[in-house]
Amino acid sequence: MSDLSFSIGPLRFPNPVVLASGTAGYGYELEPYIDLDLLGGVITKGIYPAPRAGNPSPLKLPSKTRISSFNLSISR
Amino acid sequence: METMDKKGYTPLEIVDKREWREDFFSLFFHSPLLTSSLRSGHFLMVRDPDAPPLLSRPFSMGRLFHDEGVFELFFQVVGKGTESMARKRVGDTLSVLGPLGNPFPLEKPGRVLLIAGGRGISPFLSALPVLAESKRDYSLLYGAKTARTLLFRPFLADFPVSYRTDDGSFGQRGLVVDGLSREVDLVFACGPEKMLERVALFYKDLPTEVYLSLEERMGCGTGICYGCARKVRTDRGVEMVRVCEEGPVFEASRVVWDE
Repeated sequence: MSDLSFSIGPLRFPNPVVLASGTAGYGYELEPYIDLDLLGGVITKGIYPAPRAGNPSPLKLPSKTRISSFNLSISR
Repeated sequence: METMDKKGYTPLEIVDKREWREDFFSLFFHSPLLTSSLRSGHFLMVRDPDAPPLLSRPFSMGRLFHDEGVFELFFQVVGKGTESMARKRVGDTLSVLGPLGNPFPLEKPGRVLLIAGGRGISPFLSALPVLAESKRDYSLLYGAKTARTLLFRPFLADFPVSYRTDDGSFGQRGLVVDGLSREVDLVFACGPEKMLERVALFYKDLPTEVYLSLEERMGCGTGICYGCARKVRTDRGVEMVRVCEEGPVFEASRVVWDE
């Protein structure tokens, strides 16, 4: 099997399949659905060095365009 | 063989449809597996391939017809997603994911009061037969704006129900929160946010255990998108938690209400 690993700065990724920010929570939420070991990586939602309360609802609203944006609700 | 778990949506055919008054609808789906695994308080994410919104919508299920393996999805048209669902016909298909969330703890012992406001009747349509079967002391307090929106009355005739309408057109005149009883051990409530808040306030200093089903806009329904978070008291203080994963049923004492 071909070696698809690559590096970004000091980070080494085993393959280029990296879930984009926002679609994968913080990574662990996807554990019931997929084998996380198969992924090259996960880009988390925004995180801070110290826990923060997060933003109150409403966190999503209807849009006339089909572009959606989720306000971050919980910080880790 | 029918399979259904958190890993994927299952296309289900609409086997029956009922149009109620005032933009309320029921769609009926044949799924023995879902029908047998759904509990009052669970919710389902429903994806409509013809609806303009990109995201699925969360719905509580209504009645469960165990003999036929059929469950009911009861909803009110409130936007484009539900408008599209209301146009569906028998034979059309919607994709369904569930059961999701944590149900009401109906198994807890004690005298039970169910409190439903408007379309908040939905989860109790499956709870009532369970409570009746258990031979417990229970009743339902069900309120709506008018007699026209006080739905399911023929079905509810088999159960102990007190009705209230805002205009007095059926049952007692007034809000459900005007008819709350202290003589109960367990309260399960579903309905408008203000009603839930007043229920929580009424029982705040009483020994009654109160559980509320909270409604929140959701993106995924499975804890990944974090789009349904709200303030709840936890062991660590007040935190934002996901209604889909940690709820939608919460102990009333844990819910933080907006000032």
